[in-house]
Amino acid sequence: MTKGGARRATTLAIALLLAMSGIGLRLGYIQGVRSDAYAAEARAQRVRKIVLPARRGTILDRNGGDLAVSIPARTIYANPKAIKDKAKVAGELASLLHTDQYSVLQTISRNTAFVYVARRIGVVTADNIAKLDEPGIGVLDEPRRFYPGGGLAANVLGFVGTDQHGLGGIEYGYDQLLNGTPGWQILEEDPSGNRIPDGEFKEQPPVPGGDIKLTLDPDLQLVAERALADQVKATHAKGGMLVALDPRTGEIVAMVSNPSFDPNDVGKIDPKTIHNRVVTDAYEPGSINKVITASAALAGGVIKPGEHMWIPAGVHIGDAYFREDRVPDESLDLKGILTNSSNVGTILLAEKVGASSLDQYFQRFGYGQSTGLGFPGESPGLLPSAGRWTTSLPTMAIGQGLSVTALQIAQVYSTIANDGVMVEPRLVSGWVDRNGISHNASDARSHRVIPQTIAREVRDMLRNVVAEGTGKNAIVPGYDVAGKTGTARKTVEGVGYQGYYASFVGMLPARAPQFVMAVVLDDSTPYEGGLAAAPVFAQVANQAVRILRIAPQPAGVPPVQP
Amino acid sequence: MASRPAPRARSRPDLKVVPGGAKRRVSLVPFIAILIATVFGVTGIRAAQGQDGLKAARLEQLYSQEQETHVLLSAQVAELSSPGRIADEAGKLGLVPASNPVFLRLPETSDAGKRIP
Repeated sequence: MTKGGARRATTLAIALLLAMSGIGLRLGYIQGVRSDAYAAEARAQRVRKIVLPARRGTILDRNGGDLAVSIPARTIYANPKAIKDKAKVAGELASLLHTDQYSVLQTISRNTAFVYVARRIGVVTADNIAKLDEPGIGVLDEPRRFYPGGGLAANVLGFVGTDQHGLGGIEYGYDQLLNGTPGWQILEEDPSGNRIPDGEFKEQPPVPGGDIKLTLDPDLQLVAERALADQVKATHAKGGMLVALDPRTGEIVAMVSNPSFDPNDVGKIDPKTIHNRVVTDAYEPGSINKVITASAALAGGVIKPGEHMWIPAGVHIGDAYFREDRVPDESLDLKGILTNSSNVGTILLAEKVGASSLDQYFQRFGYGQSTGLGFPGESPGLLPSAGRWTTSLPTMAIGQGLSVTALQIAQVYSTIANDGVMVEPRLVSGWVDRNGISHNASDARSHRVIPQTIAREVRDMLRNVVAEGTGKNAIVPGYDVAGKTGTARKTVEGVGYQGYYASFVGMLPARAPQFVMAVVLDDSTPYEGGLAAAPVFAQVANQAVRILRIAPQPAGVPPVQP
Repeated sequence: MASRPAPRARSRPDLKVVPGGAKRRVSLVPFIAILIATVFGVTGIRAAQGQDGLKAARLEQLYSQEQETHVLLSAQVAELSSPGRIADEAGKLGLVPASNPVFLRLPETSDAGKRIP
């Protein structure tokens, strides 16, 4: 080798050595000093965590039909900063979403890195948007709550918010049971988003929420909703309430509030319509309350069935004068007092029963306390203590000066229907927990309120109310109906008495009732319970006997003597 | 000059040709063949595994889609069979609610329901 060649070789060797040293040092830095950081960065590019949404439990009717279900849906989001041709993307999205291009353009033009374009849309539409493969547009899984019956039993079911948590009704009251626990998946993906078969994979499956089975009968619920809505419209009422139950088990088979809403369209819900008025709205019951006064009078021996008393056309109690609307001075027995809904007769009986005793009966019939239903927002009503009744005993006796919910009133009549035994009302007949185990609701609690003989006597008197008295419009052909009308002054906050509540509570077959229903109309024209509410009872009960298969004469019960 | 004694003749062992004495050369061909087979085999298995993995992922995706479709169709069935829709459809077809039911009451005699020979 020449001298020059040896020098060049040496120089090259040194250069190579330096280069190799540099590479070695860099390698050492990457693999040694920064290895964790680079490994983490590489992992972050490959490994993705996906949240697996949990299915919210289903709400079922008494026949196992779906009342509220969770269905798959997608949410479209955008990263406006990553969208190049915003006008073009807005046009494509608007076309698929069937919406205005300008509003979409405004949305995706915001100065942010994340914005929702459309939430909980249909799967097919979302998949078509995903196929556009536009940078900056993404799709998320977000299940949606769906109510197959539309507004059916909406005030009972309630609705859910954007976070899929209940905001009213059963959805709210049983949110913990219905709500599932989301799961997750950790997996490795290639740059195209395909899962790497042998890559990292961990999974925590979501735990679906439990299902709830209600006692509502969907067919009867529909009949009741439509009948009440028709009557509200026909009588120009502000609204109405209806509740129907089986007095033997306390199972509520229909529960209606009017006006109502469509839970499938949460954005358009009027807050005034969301309450389940049957349990949240307390009102002065009026003459319907007279059954308690009558029961107390019979139980206290103040009057005997068939015993007559002189009823004047009007009576002064303290500084108040109570007069009879329809009945002139005459002699009436308790049946006559109830049949004619005599205010004076009831007041005279209450005077004999006494405030303390009447107060005890109000409490025993459940006034001033929750029914035990456990429905969110349930009102206990208002029952002033007997010590404050100095001048209000007469009005209490005829159902003014205290307030109750429609459910409490239905419970009073259920007690009379059930031979004096009060059974707690219930809406939930069972549930399936998160582990898939079915549970039946325990039997409703019950207790005796009045003796059987008195309940039967009162029931017999109530038969007469429908057959000959103010409740004739509640007659159901082929069935023996017992019931009572009510026409109560309505208190308006800050105004005093203004308008009326028209109501009717009935039961059938009167000898062994299997069906009790309370109907209340808010400010109807006509305002009398017998004219506005009783026809609704007849219409709904006429269908109820078919739907619930109630025979006119239950087995083992002797025929009714006309 | 003194003369050096002549070296004694050493006795030499008898030399014989031993058969197979030369070092045997081991052939590399089988090792290379095994190596190639292993490389290709493992690669093939990995490829098949990868293919199966992709197939499994596709099937999982399909299952998930089918499950979604099932839930959506179930909800559609529930919607179509809701009492409100059925009542509306029945109304459109001209059907009306049944009139008041009529009940037959059998005479309550001792012979009622007895089999007659």
